[in-house]
Amino acid sequence: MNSLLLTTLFTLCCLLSQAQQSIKGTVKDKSGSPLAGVTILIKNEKNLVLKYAVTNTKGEFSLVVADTVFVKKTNLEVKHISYQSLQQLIEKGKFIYNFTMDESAEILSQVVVKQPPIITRGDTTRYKVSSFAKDEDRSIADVIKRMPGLDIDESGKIYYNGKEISNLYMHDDDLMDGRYGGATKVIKKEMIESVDVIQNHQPVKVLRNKKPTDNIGLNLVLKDENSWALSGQAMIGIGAPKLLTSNLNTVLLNKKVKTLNTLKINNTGEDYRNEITRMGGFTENQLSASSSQLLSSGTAGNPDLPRRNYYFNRSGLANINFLVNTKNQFQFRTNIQAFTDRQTQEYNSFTELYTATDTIRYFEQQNIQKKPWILNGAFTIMANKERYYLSNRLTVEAEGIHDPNQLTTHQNSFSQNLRQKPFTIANAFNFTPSIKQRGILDFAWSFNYSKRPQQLYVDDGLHADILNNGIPYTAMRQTADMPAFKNRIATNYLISKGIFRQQYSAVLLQENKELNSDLLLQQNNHNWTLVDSTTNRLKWNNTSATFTALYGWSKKGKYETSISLPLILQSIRYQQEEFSMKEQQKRVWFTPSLSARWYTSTEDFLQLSYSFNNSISDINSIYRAVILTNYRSLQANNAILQEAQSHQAGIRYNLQRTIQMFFLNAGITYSREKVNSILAYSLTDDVQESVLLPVPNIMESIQGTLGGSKYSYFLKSTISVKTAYGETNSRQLINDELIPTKFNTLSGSLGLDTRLFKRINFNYNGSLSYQTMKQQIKNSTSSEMYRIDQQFTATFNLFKDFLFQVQARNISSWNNSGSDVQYWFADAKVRYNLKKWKTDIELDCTNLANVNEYELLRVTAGMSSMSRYLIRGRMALIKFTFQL
Amino acid sequence: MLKSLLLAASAFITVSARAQQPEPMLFKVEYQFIHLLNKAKNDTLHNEKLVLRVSPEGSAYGRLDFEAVIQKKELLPPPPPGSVTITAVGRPMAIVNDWGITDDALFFNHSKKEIQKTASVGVMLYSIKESYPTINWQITSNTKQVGEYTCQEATGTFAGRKYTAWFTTELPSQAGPWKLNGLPGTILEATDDKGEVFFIFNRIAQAREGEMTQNELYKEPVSVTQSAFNKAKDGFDQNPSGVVQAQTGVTGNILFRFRDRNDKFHSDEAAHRLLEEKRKKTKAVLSNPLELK
Repeated sequence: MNSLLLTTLFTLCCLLSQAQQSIKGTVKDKSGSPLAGVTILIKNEKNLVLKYAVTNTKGEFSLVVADTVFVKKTNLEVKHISYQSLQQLIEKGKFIYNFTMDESAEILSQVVVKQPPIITRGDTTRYKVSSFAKDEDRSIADVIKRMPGLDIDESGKIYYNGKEISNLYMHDDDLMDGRYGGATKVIKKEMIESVDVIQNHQPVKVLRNKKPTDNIGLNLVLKDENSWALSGQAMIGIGAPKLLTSNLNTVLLNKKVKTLNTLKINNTGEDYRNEITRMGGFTENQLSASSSQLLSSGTAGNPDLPRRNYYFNRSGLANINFLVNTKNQFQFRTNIQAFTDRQTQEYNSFTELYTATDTIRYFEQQNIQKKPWILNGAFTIMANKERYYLSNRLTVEAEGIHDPNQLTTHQNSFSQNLRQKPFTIANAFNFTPSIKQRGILDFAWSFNYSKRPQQLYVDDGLHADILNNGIPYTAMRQTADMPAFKNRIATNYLISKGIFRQQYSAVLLQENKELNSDLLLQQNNHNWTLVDSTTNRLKWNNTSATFTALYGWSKKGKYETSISLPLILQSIRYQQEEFSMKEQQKRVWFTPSLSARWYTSTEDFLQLSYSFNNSISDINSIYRAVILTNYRSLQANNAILQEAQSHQAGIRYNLQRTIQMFFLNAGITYSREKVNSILAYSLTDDVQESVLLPVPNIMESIQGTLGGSKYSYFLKSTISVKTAYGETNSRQLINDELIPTKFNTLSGSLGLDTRLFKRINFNYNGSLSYQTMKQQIKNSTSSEMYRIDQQFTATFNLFKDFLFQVQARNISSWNNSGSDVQYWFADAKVRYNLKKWKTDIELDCTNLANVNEYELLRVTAGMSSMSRYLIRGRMALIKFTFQL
Repeated sequence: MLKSLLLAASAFITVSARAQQPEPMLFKVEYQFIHLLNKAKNDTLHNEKLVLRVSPEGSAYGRLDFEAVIQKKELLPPPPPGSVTITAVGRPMAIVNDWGITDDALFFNHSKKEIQKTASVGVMLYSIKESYPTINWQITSNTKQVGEYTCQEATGTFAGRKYTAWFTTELPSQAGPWKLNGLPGTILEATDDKGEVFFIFNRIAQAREGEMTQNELYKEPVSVTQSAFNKAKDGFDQNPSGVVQAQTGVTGNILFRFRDRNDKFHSDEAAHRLLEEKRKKTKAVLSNPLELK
């Protein structure tokens, strides 16, 4: 009965305008501010809404109602999700109703959600392997490639949204010690439940929620964390000419024990040293070895081609990784790599060096047969607990390089042998306690001991006039070593509040080094004699304390500034008794740096940076006695400690008009370095002698860059252009003449990405560089060279599960001494997945044009060169991968 | 938890809030969105899950995660001096969505009657001007149960379609799926009278502490007009990697992925094949858009 009446009433409300009245009012909060978005309801006794209104920004509402509401007992209901609901009876003759609403906890009881709670996810993006994997996928790497935002490159490095991940974890453990490159290709997709991408990843539990990072961690979550099943993978590839490559892997992963082991061989140009390199998992207090290589067997570097084009190898690698977690949250880990290789290399090079009056020419041809080996071991103990973080990592690295070779110069031909035995032992200890305050305190201690005994044996009596008073002799032997011990203690305190952050650190560094060298000659009577003034017994000690205050202000989208104020107290002592040299230098440095970025609009920003640096050279600029660094170079020093002061300033503007698909950036950097000594060269037709002399030198350089890209809707292609111009002015002291030298570079590149005939994607990248070097003295000519490098890639998408890609590259180069080179390289790749056989087949053809030699032109200050390398010719390789 | 959530919510009300600002979320609703893209073809029935996030004054709607990312209020400190800095040298990625996939998100302030639409092309996020949709709803006395809530029926016309919406005063917000809004309670279900568009209630949950309607943006979106945006989007479908190159200035190969309507990602040859199919079908498929006028 009542409902019928109401329905009638409802209809009447809508139809009969003459029987309508208007109710008005305002809604405010307790402070008297108007409330917008509040709903005013008129409901019937069945709790159904008959009429409603919403308050405007002034808190006002108005409702047109039927006369009957004044007769029947009707309530006005006032509701807002953040406020306590109100009710008031509509009174006869009253048309204005004002309300004041209370904020109340009660309101949420109205919004009680009738569902189970949600599992916390935070910064983690979870990719379920089952939703991305396809039948043809074998390893977890194949599946990761399909996950949006994730990508793996050739070396196994993983990127998330274009940013390199900080490390790969297997069920929360860093089994590979950062060398995760090969791991994802070995782990079967069936073993992994999900791939978790953890943004702002903080592996140290104590620092979680305290020290945000912008690292991205990747965690492979195991499907069965209690599995003791051992799995494996085998690959074999054969090809022409006489190519062989093979891998064998075993994997066992569970909660307690994890192990991943690899055995590999190849002679196809694949460099396993990539797998020995750590890609992630760096701790901040690791010290690097400071013993450096002093001697070399030749003067030419590597060609600027991909490594596999010129790497003639027979390599083997064993990689063993083992990890165990104990019940009391301690972790023990061992990582061992053993690498051996037999590398051959053949090249010749012409070098021209310019003096004030003359041009000196050198020719060198070398056949190298290197036999290096590397043995690395890392032993880690870690406790990552809620109360504290503790880790200790001990590493031992031993290496042997045996490099016998035949060298031919324009005068003679002789055999050489360079042997080196680098060795490093290092330890890094880290402790971070959990403290109650907002700040973070940490403590780190690390040391590194390294040595690098090296010996260059030359089977000929070179430079007898300089080294042996003109008396002929039969052979020479240069020995050198640089044992070094470094010790570092650091502590850090960090506070961050709002837009302002401050960080204070103290670092104590102590370094002891020695440089020992001798040059011996074998006289015609077979006795070895020591050459005068070629014995170095240099002792070096460097102690420094660095106190740094770092302040930063940033507001997202507006500005970011940071200023660093380091104060360095440094003391250097060195002595060389045989030259009765004993010095001590004390310095106090203040080396501020500043960087600021302003966003002038949402798309544009201006960046300014400035830094001042003060540096003292190393032991290399102090030794007095001559060292034969290669068969034709003799080096010594005759200067005080080399000190350099440098200023660097830069400005950059970035402009983006994304809707027009237009991007432009321009920048200028300027640097000026003042050094208190100069390397003086004395050049003759068969020897280069160099001495560091106390003559002040200034090096100035300025560089400007301009780049842009634009997408053409009409051509459906993007064209991008980059240009750069640079000028460097420095002085060289050659044959007692101070020669100011100007070096200019102009470079440009052009990129094009387009689609051809619908199924072909075409990409072009070309670059041009033009370099000139001019010595600013009378009668000097400038050296010039240009180089054009163009690369064409076409990808054909013809059938399913089938990929065909061709790549061509053209390099042409010219210099003003008349050298002119041009090369074409072509590669082709076909990949096919054989689902039935559970096997992948890949055919790779490289260097189809069968180029066997490659020439490289170079120009640097005071020098130009042309090197010719023997490279790998046409190769075809077919690879099969099986799951075990 | 409830208390601090409320505190956060009430603190926010005193601050003047703009539609595009992230706001503390109160609750969230997931809808199954079904749309017949082409009346002539039954296989063009598009189906995806879309999420409505409700805040005290506004709401956000689109292809959002049901669980939002908790906002980080602290700024990232710089790496300590002497630490190993790893420079990112990766490549950006171009993702092309298949037909019908919702690629824009709507952000409302119902109190101020403001709306902002954001959508991305390539690696850039754009903000497109829209006018606040006002619907003249007619409330009826029909009720039905949706999930655990008693809903009341209302009918109204928007963009050429007549919708029937079911709202509940138990969730006192004017929010609803897509542009359907303005009722005295949250709209939990809506369908058009031709049976071509459905917003079906899937699930609802209370927000966790710190969840916001919008994830904090790395960069402010760039304001553009709808026609400029459409042009950019067409250009992107024609040559995705080319557009990303132009946006970022990165030369060389750009990674390319294709997202199909089942939310599967395709790469390499499969992605190119699917993109080719999308280009061919473009006009034929989408003859029945969501907004007819």
